[in-house]
Amino acid sequence: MTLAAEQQEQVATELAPLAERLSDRLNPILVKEVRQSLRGRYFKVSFWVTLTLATMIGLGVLLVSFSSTREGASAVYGPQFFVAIFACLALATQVLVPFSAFLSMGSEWDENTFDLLVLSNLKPRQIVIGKVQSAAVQALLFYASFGPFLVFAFLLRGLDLLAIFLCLGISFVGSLLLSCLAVALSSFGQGRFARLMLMVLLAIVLVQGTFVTIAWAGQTMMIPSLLRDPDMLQGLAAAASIAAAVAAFFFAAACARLAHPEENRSTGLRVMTLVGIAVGLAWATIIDGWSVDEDVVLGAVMVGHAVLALATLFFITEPERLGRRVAAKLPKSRLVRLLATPLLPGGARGLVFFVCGSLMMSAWALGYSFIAEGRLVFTTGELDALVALPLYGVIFLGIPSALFTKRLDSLAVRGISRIVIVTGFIAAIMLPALIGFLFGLPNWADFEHPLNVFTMIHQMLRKDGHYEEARYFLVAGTLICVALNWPRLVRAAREQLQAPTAASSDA
Amino acid sequence: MSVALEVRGLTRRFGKLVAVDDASFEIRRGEILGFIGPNGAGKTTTMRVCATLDLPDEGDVLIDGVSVVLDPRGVRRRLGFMPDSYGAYVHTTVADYLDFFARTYGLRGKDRARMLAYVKDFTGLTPLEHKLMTSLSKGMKQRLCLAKTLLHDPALLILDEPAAGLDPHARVELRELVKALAGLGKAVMISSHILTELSQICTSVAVIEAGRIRATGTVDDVIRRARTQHQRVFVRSLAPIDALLKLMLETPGVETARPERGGVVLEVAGAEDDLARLVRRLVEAGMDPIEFSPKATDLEDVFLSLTAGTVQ
Repeated sequence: MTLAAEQQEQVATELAPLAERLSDRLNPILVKEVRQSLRGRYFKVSFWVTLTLATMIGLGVLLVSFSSTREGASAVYGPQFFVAIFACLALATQVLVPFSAFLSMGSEWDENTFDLLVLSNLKPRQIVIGKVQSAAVQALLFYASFGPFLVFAFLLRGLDLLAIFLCLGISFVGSLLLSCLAVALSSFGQGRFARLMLMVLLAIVLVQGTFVTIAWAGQTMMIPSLLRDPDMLQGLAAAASIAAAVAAFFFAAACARLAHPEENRSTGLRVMTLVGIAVGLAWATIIDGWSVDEDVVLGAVMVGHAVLALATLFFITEPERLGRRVAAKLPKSRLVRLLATPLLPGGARGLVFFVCGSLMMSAWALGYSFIAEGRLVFTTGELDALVALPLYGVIFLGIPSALFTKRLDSLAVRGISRIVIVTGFIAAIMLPALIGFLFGLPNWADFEHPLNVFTMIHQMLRKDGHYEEARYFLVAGTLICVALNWPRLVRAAREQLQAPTAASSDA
Repeated sequence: MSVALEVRGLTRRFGKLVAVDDASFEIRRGEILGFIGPNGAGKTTTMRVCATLDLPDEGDVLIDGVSVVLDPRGVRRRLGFMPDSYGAYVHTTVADYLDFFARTYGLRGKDRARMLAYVKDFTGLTPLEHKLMTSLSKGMKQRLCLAKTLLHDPALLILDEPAAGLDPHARVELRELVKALAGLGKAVMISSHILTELSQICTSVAVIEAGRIRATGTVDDVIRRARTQHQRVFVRSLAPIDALLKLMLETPGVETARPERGGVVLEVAGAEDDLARLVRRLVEAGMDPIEFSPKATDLEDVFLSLTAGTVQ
């Protein structure tokens, strides 16, 4: 053995205990996945193929650039080379890495190893974090290996250093977000067929997302002054915080899927939905510049209601009972138990969640108006719309879900109830129009009927048309909804109040 | 000895099917309980509930006094479960596999190294530690899974069909490992179809059929109780076999009678008093009995007498 080799071995021996101590702090899934990746073929092949591809494309771009005789062509060598290399890097970090996370989660079902993870006492949160961390490590390895290319691009000149870091940062955040999505989707597809479908969906999202990043990077490199535009920076910050909220939602969704059906799978998602909406409303306030533009405010409320309704579609069709483990963890105070109603699992509580979410948005709209302008800036039509939106949601979600309430323990019934709610909503828009067409009711035939939320809200905002009819529908529909849901709401409240605490269960 | 596992009125339903119906039994430290029953009897469901992988609809299971319903994480710290089928991680060596699970149980630094060395030595896996686990034989994979379940030094081990698919040599090795574990004061719950195998290592049994516990207790107790309910007797007499058969089949309490080795084998419902009455009847009927030998009951007889092979 040479002296250098001996010295190397000595350093490795001295560093081993330190590395061991450091690895104790890491997520066990991360340690396992990195070891597996380094032994497996997927990472090695994708790593070397990407590097080879980047080298060839980079050389090609340079040849084309240097052969150009156009005046000032040298100023764009750097940006052109960077965009070509960045495209390869983005493909690796935003397509290959999330895809690897998807396969890794899927292999837990295929290889029948998920039960072993549960038995190992890892929490679902730790499992998901481990998978995402492993994807992040793989992405960082790609960034490290692309380092020389990026330095070379910078040396070619014509590149803004801030733009380079921003592009790399955005692609890394994108990689993490897409990895979260990949793990969440994979946790939803435990059957092979379902996972195949989800894999196709994921592939579409990954490729789309990557092309958006590459296009944005290309534009930023060619016109670096864009980054000095405050609107652009504000837009980037808004996009980053909304992306973070979306990633957190995917994370919560994956954790919920990995938890036992008797565990609380709902509260995390309910909280994340409200947080996501709150982030959106906060950005609406900032973008509006504290000058209450009704279009911005009502637009934000409408988008918020769409998101809320979509999430509630799943919450309102959850099994009604709390489950023994959840019941045992309820707070002792009866008041706190009741206050926690919208965040606890269960279909009836899903309806309460929707109402509370709606109230949160209405409170924001009215509060923002009073704080920013010192008065109510909305017209009566706009106020009608602010009231009508939640009522439409309550009716279209509450009435059909009440019909399934006793059979929501069955997975199949839950799926059917969701389909019924969505088709019921579409039918409520289409059928009156058909009736109007058949029986000569011109307004209904033109979709101007009280069941069409879109037309009615539009007419309320413009204060024209026949939206007064909608008031009768909303009052009648809400009363029917309350009557149908009253028993399940009472049962839910009684279950919460009467649930034994952990201490009394032990006794 | 303290109770390591206590199953209290456990009921688990899947729709209309009652997979486990009001099951109750317990295991003490150092005890090896054989959990026996036909296919579809509810063995695996019971074991999965005990291992926190499933939840009871009614009742509870306590591991060292900790409830699987209320504190599943607390239970997992006290329990090692070896499922009947478990997967192997690709591109993972024996050492890496055990190291991963040791980390998941929160073992750090020297503690982890010491525990890994111990379980590898105990299960004889040290020479194989650099082999990929996908290249291991079935017997070695079983050892590896057993080693994994021992990493956090659990008080209770639940082994679901650990001997399935093993060759006789591997079975003997596994049996010795299980005995050694009980010797270390661990409670072991083990299910198997190979009753001769179980009878050699178990100190107690629980027999389950169609989700209901049919018998539970020490092996001797269960056999003694079975003997009071059901006996197998060989009778030989100087009288013709046809006459002996006819007489026996007409005798109340005799369930079946078949000729065998110049005599008749009887299945008799009842205890030893009923056998005495049977002898008296043979003598009174002038059958001149020359041999009357009750057959020794073993675990297989108990199993066959208590279960009808009902599948749910």
